[in-house]
Amino acid sequence: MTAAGAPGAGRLRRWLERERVFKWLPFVPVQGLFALLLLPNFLLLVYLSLLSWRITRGAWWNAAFTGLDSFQRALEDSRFLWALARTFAFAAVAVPLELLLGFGLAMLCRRSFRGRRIYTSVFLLPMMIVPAVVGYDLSMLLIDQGPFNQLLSLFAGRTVTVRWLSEYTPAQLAVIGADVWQWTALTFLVFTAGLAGLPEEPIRAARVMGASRWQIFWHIELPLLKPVIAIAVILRSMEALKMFDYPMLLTQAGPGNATETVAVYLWRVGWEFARVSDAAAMSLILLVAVAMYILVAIRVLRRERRRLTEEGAV
Amino acid sequence: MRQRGFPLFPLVRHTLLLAWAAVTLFPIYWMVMTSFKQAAEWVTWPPRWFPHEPTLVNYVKVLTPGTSTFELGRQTLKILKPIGDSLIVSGIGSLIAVLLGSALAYSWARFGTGGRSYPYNILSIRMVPPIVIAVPFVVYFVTLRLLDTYTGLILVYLATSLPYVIWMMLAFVEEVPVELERAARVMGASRWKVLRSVVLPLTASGLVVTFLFVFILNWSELLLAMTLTNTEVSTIPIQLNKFQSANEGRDYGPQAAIGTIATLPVVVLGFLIQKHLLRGFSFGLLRK
Amino acid sequence: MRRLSGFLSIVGAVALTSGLTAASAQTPAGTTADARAVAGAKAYMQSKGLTSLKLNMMMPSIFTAGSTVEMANFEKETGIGVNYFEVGILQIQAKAMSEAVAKSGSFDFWIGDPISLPDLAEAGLAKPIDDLVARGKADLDDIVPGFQEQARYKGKTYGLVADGDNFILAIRKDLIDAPGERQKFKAKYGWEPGCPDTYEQWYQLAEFFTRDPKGAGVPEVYGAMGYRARSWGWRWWLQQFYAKGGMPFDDNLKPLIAGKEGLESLRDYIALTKFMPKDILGWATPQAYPFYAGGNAFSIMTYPSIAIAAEHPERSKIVGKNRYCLVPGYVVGGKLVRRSLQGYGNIFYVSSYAKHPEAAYWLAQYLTSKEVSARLVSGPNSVYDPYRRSHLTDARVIKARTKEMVETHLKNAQVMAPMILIQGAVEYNDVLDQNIQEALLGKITAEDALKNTAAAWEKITNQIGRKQQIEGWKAIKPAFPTKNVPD
Repeated sequence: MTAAGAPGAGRLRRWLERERVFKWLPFVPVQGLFALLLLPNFLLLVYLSLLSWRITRGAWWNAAFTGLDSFQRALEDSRFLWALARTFAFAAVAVPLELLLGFGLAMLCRRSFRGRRIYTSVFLLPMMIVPAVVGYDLSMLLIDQGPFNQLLSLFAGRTVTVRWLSEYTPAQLAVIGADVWQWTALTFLVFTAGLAGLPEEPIRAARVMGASRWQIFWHIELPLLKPVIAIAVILRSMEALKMFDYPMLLTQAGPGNATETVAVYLWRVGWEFARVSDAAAMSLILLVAVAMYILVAIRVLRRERRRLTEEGAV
Repeated sequence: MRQRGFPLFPLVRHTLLLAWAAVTLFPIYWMVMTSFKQAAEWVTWPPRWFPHEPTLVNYVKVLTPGTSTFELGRQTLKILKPIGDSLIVSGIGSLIAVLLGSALAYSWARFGTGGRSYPYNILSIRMVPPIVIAVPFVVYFVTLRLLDTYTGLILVYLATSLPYVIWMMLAFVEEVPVELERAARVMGASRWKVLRSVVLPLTASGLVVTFLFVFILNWSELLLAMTLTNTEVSTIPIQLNKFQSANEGRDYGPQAAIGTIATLPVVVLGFLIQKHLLRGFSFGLLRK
Repeated sequence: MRRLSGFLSIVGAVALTSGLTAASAQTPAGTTADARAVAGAKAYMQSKGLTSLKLNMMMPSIFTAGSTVEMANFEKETGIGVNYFEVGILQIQAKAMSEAVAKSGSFDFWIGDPISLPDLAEAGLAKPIDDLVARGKADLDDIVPGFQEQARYKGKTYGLVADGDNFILAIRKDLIDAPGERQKFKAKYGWEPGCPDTYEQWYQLAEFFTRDPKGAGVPEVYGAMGYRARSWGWRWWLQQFYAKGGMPFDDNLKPLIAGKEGLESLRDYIALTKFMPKDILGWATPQAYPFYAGGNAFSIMTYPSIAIAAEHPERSKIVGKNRYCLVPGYVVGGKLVRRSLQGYGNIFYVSSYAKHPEAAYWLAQYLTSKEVSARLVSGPNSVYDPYRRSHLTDARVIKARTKEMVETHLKNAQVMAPMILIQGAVEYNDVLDQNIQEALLGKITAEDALKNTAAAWEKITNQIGRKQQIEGWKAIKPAFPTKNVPD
């Protein structure tokens, strides 16, 4: 640094020290990023949804407005509605399973015992695997003469040849199973963290007062865990509703349309069928559907977190 | 009945835990084993639980340029460039996200910057399914000349991982005693000094955990990467997808080798920081 | 109005530039198409002052290794090499469409199938190459009629065909010739077993030669194979439907598939599936070829490149045991009608946004010329199937593919019909495919599957614009065969 630059730099540093400057420092780049990267995107999405443009029709900026035609088409498209319903249904099966399994495992691993660390390490493994690898790995396991069916045969005592990837319901189970297998690791982690962070005093107090373990769990621990449960629900639902990799890699969204999630269908409408405006309209509908669900969950989370803060402050 | 000291409970517990451990390990085990198998052993009835003639040929095929891997001699599944690209894109993207996000979390926790709802608002960014923004992103990125560039993908990953970073870091930042910071300030330390010598050491493990978690997410991301890259950039999930789309790939050995290679670094990282992992996932939702 | 003027200006610009290049350039020297391609490429490099150049080529990942040797040859001669941009075979369309939006020039040319052409031509990505074809004097006249036509759209040429992909039926003659089998078969069905003339006969063969000694539902030999997987299966039905005398649309583009022909052929298609391996609903080429070559099935209807699996000494347990048959048909109005379908078919397309479109074209002309294509087709790993008359007499091709196979294959080409090649083809086919699979799974009846498809097709047609679609349909109709059986 040159001597001449020193006073200027000092002034700058002092300016940055001020609270009202300092506290905004990280906000500027973050908000800037959102404003420049995501906002134009969103506006473009809305704009495209108001056209009836497809890639085969010249340039999009020349396309005429057609009002809400794309939305009307989207809402009349039963395949889209089915894909939407299917996606929510998959999430509705997968997420509770993940929560229950994760919670159960976390409860079992709660107090220290021999081998706990090994179990924990093992349970966290699936989270660290690329979903594309999971998709591929399962497609290898689930072929009708594959190791998974052989395992089942072992337990069933007869030859099992379920067509996991080429029959309707089994394929759906396979896709859900992939999600559960991989992401129970995350719920396990969240719940383990949650259980470890439970305050000890109220529990000890309850025990002194002669409450049973079940009562303590039901009346003290579980309420305290509510925000943790809420965040687990939010995180997993958000991700499960995006499901794309597993059907793409396991079943090509088939057989029939058995595993066509809304993400896969939108991919097809936009890029394979070239109906960009329709895809944009469907995207917005999807966004609203997801938002309604998630925002309710976030509201619950907020309430719980606020309650926690207030109680903590008392 | 679940009573502590009841002799059956440890037994039940181990049975249940072992069962899930088996479920967890089985696919991984199979993949690793397959990566050491000769082509003839990939699909057999009954399946082979061990490679009878272990081989490294799958790894050699995947890692040497110019050889073909598919049994019919047609595919050239390669991994080195995608690994490099993935490391660059998710590494840099996650790093910047952790820097910005944790600074933001700190600012919000200390000064309430952005208002009370800020973290919740930002969480809703993560709610947007990638497919929703994929199509306009192409149009937009073309005009910015960011399509098929490292910068473009890094920016996208940065934006999509910020919500997670902020939420995870809130927990760590809130654990830093304010009194300590105040004391340091009183003694004349600048805000930067406080950050460097009080906050940073106390949240270091959090930074590592958070970095690892968003790194995993970015390392795995398929849809946006597939949409926003062509010839120049190619991440691991894209490469895997090219050769594994449901009804293409039965090139199990090399694919298993790639899967193993793609999994290994993350798993090793995961083990190294496992001790700290738990704290990152309380999301600031509990008070000690 | 603005849209129209924009379109017109594009057309005008294309016409202008193509006129200019045609006027300013001359046919490169050389007696053969490949020599002209090399000369043309050299001249191009000279005019640009380049000594080496790497083109980016998008291609399906499973095809890459088949052409590396010839690409290297071309690079040695001209300095023009290729960087592969490999994409999953089912994602080529999506990637190409995204490039049509992006206009980034990230690849100069690509290999795709005919289905994607109408959309990519309309989207402006596929570049008309008539002027270059004329300049380079590509030896198209040697190509068996029906193939090159699929690279044309509304009167313009957009690509060079590299692959004759019409289906062929392979059956196992060793199983038929096993002692006593012929007699037993003849006693049961009343005809000498061999290549089936009709789908009914194929069904009988499949039924008879399914070998399930344990009766456990996992036969040692499956009677038949064909593709039934998502994104593939519809092609096999379409071929059968054409043989029934069916046409997908009438002249006003009203769907005709839900009629008698459609229903009967779909029922037969579903019925035959019971002799196929259980997982066939998830299989395409990489799964089907090794399975058949492993001696696990009696017959397979597939692409002619089955030979590189079934006749390969290391990959196959059934070398020399196969017989290649004309595609079966149906008796329609007292006459046998055979139909084969060009079910994929690699075509080289040049991108409008290519940085070096001309160089890409010369490479494509080189690879598809009489001489080089024979080398490509006869390569040990080649998925490029014979499509030129000269392949019929080329010793290298015959050695790689067997004479019987090449002859039968090119005879099949005489009754070859195209897929539905109009704008929105991918969507039309996808809807069809999805409904066929649901019928196959027993989710809906065959009747409903076809009715649903017809209804969906109407919607697609209306959305794209019926007038335009009728025009496109008229343009493709001459590509349908007039012969009922090959000579």
